[in-house]
Amino acid sequence: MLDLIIRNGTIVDGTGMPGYLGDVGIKDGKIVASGSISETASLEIDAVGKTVSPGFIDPHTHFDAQLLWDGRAKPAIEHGITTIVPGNCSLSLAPLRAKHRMKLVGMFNQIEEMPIKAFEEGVEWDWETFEEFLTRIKKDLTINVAPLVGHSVLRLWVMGDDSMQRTANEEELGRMQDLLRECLRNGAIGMSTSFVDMDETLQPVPSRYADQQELHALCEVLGEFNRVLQIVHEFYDADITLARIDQLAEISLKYKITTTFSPLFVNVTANDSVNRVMARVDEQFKRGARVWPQVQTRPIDISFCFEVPSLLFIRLPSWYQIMRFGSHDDIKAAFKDEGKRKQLVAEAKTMSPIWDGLVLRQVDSDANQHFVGKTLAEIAATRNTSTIDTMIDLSIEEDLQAHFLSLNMGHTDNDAVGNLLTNPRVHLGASDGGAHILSFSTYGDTGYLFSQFVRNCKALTVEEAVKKITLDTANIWGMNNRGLLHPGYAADVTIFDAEQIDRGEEYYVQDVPGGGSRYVRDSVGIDTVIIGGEIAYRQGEYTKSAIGSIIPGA
Amino acid sequence: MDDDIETYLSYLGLLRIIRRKKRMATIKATRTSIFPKGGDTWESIALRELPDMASKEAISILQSWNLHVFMRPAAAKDSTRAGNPILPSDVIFVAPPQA
Repeated sequence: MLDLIIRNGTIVDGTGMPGYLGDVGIKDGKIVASGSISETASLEIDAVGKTVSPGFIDPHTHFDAQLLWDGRAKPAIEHGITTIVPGNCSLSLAPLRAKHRMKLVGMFNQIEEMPIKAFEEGVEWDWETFEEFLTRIKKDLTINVAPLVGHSVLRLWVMGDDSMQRTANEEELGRMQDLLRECLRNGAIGMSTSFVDMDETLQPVPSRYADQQELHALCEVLGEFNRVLQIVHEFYDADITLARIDQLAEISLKYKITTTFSPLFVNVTANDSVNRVMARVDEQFKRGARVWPQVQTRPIDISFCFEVPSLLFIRLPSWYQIMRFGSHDDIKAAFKDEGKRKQLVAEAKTMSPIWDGLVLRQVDSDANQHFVGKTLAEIAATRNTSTIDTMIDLSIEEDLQAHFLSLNMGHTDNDAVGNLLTNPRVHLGASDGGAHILSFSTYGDTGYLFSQFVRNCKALTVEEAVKKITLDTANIWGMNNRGLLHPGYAADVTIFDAEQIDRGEEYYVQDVPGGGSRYVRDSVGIDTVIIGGEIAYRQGEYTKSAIGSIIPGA
Repeated sequence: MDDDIETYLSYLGLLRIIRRKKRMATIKATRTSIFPKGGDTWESIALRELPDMASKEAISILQSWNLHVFMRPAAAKDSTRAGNPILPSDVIFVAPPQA
């Protein structure tokens, strides 16, 4: 007798081959049969009219902190995701000495826009090593986790404050290599690094002080374990991106490792950039290098209120300084001060088209409720003032709790994005799940893949889309026995309605420790999610917990 | 006999290098860039990479080709890189953008 049989679904097995009607049998956490199954099981699920696929894999997340208070990484699972990769962009929460905790919290706050209060009130700091961190999150882990270790934290552990000052010496390089080995032995799937990020004092993160010798020394260790290097590169500049692709290609060839860079966006004003990048990727693949660009499905939308710093303002130094370093009262005082306000308005005018199109998405007061859903240009017209002044005035009136939304800021050309997603050398990722929680909802990219690029644009078939987020991802990252509905593979399964699957509307919730808020999306059309043979989510309800694994396990 | 083996092995090694070079040769040229060496400044990079140019002019050209570094705030006065915006991990272009 089997543990579970999913009957009469359309099996889309992850290979990209056409789906077929049949059953999937599960025992002891593994797929044991597919096709027509005559055996019985302790539990059977009727999947008539549904698609049965391998569980989706999200390779670019920052759920590191959330996993400490929410082992389900909500709402990832309800979007069909059974495996996540945290620790991207040079930042992981381990290895981390006790004395460096607040430094790392500062970096997470600055780069990933995670509230400091959530760390203060939601995290019991009871680990230092990578192994201890994994033991800690395993206690209540429901989703599978393939964790990266961050280059910046390796440096911080070995070099302390000097990690933000200089290159490493020979002795430090050796210690960093040993530390990376230890992390890989204990279950890290690879290492991440960053060439662009800044810490909470707006200084470069530690990984940016590493020279070529250091990066190669660490990649040599990745080569010993056949693990992955992830980078975040200067994605706003095609020439630098090409140079990074060449750099990754040399590393990939020399140490025989997989490399991946994220994000790659379609830029409507410089569409040729993405073609140049992909042409270079093709050239390097032909040489034998593995350099995978990560592309997200969703267009870029950014929400903000002046209560928390927003990366939308990073190119406006006067604004960003007060948002980053000013208190609530400092910000309001700056907005009310005539001279300071003049300076802010003048600086903001360099980005005028953005302010005109901003939508007021949320306010607390009754007086301004009738403006919700209108653009700043529309509101400004009724108030006989400028859009920038309107943004400032509303923020003062709402005690900085006026929330604004900038829609479709980039990656909006669905034909171009769809075309890119069909490229076999494009790796679907870059969701940033668990990060930027007050800027945008990083959930639902998988649903959007089907609704937009399968059903609407018809760029991909259901089978091709499933393969992209299951077998392709598992293969790229070396996740053995994941991504297929074949006997012997892990029983991570997503059952969904291919005609309905989508992302829901973005909405605001207050469920972050420390009284924090975030934007989330519900899923649409996801019926059941199975992790390691156990039902984690079914028809709108979370069920079993603590069923997730660390991939690759120690 | 040992000499023969050595010759054979070095022949194989040579073959591998030639094959790799052939593969490299199929790569299109992109804008030339370097990674900084330890302690590099605009001056030291200009001297090394643009040796035929007057130092002041070379520095100015390098900076214009590398606005992503030049526009970055320089390191703090108490930093070991005081006044120098160049980071060891930077891509530094030593040629203009391709037409």
